[in-house]
Amino acid sequence: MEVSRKRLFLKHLEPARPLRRHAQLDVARISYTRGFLIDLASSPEAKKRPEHLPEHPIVLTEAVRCVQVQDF
Amino acid sequence: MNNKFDALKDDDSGDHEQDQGSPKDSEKEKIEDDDKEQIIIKKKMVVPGAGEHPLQYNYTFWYSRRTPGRPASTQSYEQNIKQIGSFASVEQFWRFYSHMIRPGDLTGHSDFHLFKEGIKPMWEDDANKMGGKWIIRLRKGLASRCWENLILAMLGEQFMVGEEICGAVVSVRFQEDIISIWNKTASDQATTARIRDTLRRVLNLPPNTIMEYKTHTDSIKAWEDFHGLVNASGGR
Repeated sequence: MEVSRKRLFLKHLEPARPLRRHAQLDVARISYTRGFLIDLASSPEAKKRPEHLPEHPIVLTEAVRCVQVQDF
Repeated sequence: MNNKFDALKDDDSGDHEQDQGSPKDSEKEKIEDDDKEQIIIKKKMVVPGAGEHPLQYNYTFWYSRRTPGRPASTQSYEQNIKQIGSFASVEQFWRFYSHMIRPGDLTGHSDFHLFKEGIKPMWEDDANKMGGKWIIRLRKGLASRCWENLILAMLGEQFMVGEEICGAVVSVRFQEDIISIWNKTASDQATTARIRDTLRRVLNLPPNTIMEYKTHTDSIKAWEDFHGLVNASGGR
């Protein structure tokens, strides 16, 4: 009883197989349509300031909306 | 070296699991150095955040501006080009993009470059040296919209040419703006034709828009000829 419980416990500790995920990525390329990408621009995650943004004249203090959303 | 534990494992005799009190000074330095290395690696190896939409490739934004009066050379070009940041997901892309000026609002002789991480936006880079670019000249007022459509198509893998795309550039000039997309193999006509057709579709350009393909070897030659004649002044 004690032994089988131990075996069961160890089974759960088997290493994951990260390579399987990469193999799947190689088969299908990750593609997105323009509309899908533009929709994601409105998500709160997309408006946060990046962590390592350099100080530079072309870098803005406040986020601006993408051109497509601005125009329509 | 993956982490500081690997570093210790390689260097000491394997007794680091014992409690030895505070580390020796040399060990302390090693750990600090390794932390620095970790920070650099972290900055280089950007990954998608939890729940974010991963991209097929990581990309880096660059910005360059011609400084008047300075001699133009490959070296000064490389010094003039500034890395803004790298991203691995759609959300991370929007974070950078939304905190950058739109190309249409740039002044002077300046360029935004968006290249796959690890490829420098230079003709001389290994990924570019056999390549070329499609160039589209735009009248003033179109650059911001066309640039956005171009980079969304690139990030969304709309060109369907495998590993061929290297990056995209928008160049703001005095009377016109230029957008271009760079690929690895200039001699691969099936690829360059497919890129051209995708460009026409995603940019929604007026029918009379002229598209020109230029190999980087031609660009280098033209640049060298020009600068040989006028004694090195101006940009590329």
